Amino acid sequence: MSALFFLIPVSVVLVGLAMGVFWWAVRSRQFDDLEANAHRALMEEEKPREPAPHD
Amino acid sequence: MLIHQAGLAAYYQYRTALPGRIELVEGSATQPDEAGLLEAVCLPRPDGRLQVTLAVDNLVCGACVWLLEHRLAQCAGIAAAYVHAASSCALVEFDPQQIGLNQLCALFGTLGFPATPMVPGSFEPPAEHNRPLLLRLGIAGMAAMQVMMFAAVSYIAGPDGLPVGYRNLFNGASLLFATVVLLFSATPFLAGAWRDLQARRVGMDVPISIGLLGAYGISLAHTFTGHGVVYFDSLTMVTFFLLASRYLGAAARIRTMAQLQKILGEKTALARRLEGGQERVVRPQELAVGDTVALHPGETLSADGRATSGMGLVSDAVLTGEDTPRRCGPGDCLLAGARLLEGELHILLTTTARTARRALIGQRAEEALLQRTVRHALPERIAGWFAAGTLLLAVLAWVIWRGEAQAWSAVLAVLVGSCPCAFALAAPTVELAATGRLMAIGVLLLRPRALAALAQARLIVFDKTGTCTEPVMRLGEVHLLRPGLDRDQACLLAALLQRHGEHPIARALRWADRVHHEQAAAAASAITHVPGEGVWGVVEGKVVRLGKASFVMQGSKRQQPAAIPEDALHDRAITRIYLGDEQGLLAAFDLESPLRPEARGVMEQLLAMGYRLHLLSGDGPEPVARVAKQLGMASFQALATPEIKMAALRQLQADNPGAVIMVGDGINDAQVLAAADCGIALGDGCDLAKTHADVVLLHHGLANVPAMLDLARAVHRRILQNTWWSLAYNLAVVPLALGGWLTPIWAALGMSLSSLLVVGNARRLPGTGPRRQMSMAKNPPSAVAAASP
Repeated sequence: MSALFFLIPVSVVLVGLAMGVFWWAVRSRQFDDLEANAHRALMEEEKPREPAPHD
Repeated sequence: MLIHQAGLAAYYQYRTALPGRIELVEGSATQPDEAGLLEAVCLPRPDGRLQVTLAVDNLVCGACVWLLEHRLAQCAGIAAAYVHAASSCALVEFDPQQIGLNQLCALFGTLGFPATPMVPGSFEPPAEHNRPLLLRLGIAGMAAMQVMMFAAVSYIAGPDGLPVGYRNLFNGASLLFATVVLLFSATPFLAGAWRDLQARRVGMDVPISIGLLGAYGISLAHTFTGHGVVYFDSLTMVTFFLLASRYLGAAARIRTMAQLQKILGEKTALARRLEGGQERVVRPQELAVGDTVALHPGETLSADGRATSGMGLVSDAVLTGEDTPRRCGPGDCLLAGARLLEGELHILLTTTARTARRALIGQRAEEALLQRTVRHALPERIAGWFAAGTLLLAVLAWVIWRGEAQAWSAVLAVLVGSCPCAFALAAPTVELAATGRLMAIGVLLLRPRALAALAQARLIVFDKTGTCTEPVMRLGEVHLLRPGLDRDQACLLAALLQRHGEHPIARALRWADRVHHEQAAAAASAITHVPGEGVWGVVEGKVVRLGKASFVMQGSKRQQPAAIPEDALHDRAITRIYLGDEQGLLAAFDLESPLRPEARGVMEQLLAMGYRLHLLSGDGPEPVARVAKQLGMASFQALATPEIKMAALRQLQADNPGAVIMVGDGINDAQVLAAADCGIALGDGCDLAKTHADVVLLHHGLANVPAMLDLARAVHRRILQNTWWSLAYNLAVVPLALGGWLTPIWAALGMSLSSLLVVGNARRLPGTGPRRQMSMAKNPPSAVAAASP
């Protein structure tokens, strides 16, 4: 049981980290346009080719 | 082709919606940026790059976003690009040394997405407003989960069942999270309550804040003294659920805003101000009355004004829906939103961009969004009383339970359980969702109050000319009634009188004589419109009148019977108007107005839906009767001037217990549209009608009317459901809380769930999908120019 005196503060720190990540994600506009981002997740797998030389 | 060259063919695989007709824009890539342009539209970044927001057309789905972002990433000089599909804009950071702004816009254009720089501050992606709320919600949610976990332990062990060390550990951790929630997440409620108190009123935020602060204070004391119950769990959960319902409400509004901005095309164009003979690009906000601006082909005027020099072909399509361009030269008035197609014009401004007439309709729409809060002043007032009652009940609970351990718990439960949040959200969330839905099909809901009237109406009154019939009339036969007068002269006189009229008759006459009246040396002065009767003016010193026979005869010194019998007109779609001067009648014009193609189908649907239809027109009895018969309308009234229309409407309103809807398009309908329980204006009608209406049908003529009425009925049902549910919930919960059977946490859960239910119910509105596809099918997406590999 006394492990709780260690684990609870750890959980508090972890939640603090999660909040920080959430803060960053919102600030970097990741929740602004959920529709396009949903598509982006599917499309990124294929990197575009290098542009053709005459482009 | 370009898309394939750039290795972005996967676009075709990903796109989920076909863009409409896409025209590749020949870029002006080689031209350098004009003087003042970069300063006017770009925000400098600390690293020397510039940031610009571009309004992008044709963004229809996620694949377009993907395509643009990938293409931009391949381009030298572009540091970052962010494309936002919902609001049709792109944020680009670029290096002005490597790529010019014109080149950048041209790049968008070559991909089929014409882009124009937007003036900073004129537009913000709507999501910006929602971001702080989302942050507060997310933080509160995480904190609430943790605190609930700690609280669950003491629920199981009982308030004093835990060893003191563990108790302090859990309470301390909870205190930490609750403090974050109170100081960060709950600030909107605390700030709102503070505003309410300063304004000496009791809003919804006051009881919420008292509850939150009270719970926090008591729990804080209990944490440090080491005994007694803590309410950190209630505090965090209440905050989380309250924020959740507010966030959903705001999200609905944001969607509406995004669609509104898309439809209004409020993409601020830049202006070219003449400064000492040189053109300098400036933001429209900087324009002042008395400035002279230059307009180049393809550009849009940003304030109202009068042309001083130059000649050009101007389209007022945005303003009046009239596709026919008009030729403008010195002396002609131009309104903001007018687009120059050919030539070049210098314009002396008579308004600023903010006071221009175009700004009015935009303001109307913005108002409709703001008005939502004003309009639900009534529920809000009830909510205020509700809140005051809540406080009284809380005091009562305190008195009942005074001295007992449960006292604070009971007070909190009453405060939280009787929170009228759901009640206050009941109507506005549904209205907001409906506004968005309607916008998606091209129906602009300017005043949400109209929804109730739309839902309850049983009678729809239609104007005829321009509403049931095509807005563009055609000039048929011209009967010459004075020897020596030829057809061209008669047409010229009529066209001069109708030079600025927006009425379909005016357009037909102008169109019939588009060559002559533009070059004519003569001009009509003192043009006076007599609504519903006609127009008179002075041409070459003579008073000329155009309109109904009776109106024209009033100006004639000689009495003379209408020279031609009108019997033959009965069975043809013809309106006859007369031209005359002081010596009597000069000519008669037969104007033909075909029915709108969708009118018959729409009327059939409306009749099938159980509506009664009435035709109210200023036109003669025969054409009105014929149109009424063709459209299956049971009743009609002809020869109605605006005054008679008003009287007729009042009578109809008195005779019919339900609400009365008026559908119209012209200047003469403006007053009736405003007076009807719900006024519907057609998008191709005149501005005055649109600004006086509650609803504007932006495209497809009348085709969206049945879908709109369906939706209004559904909205009304939802609002009633929501209101009853929330009232029933509050009434049921207060006795339970007063009796001490309800703990604050359950009260919080119940209240929040009831709010969420209300918001969820609003989002459950039936889609307008099938009808939308139907109307889309009329304009099948043509072959995409860029699609040929």
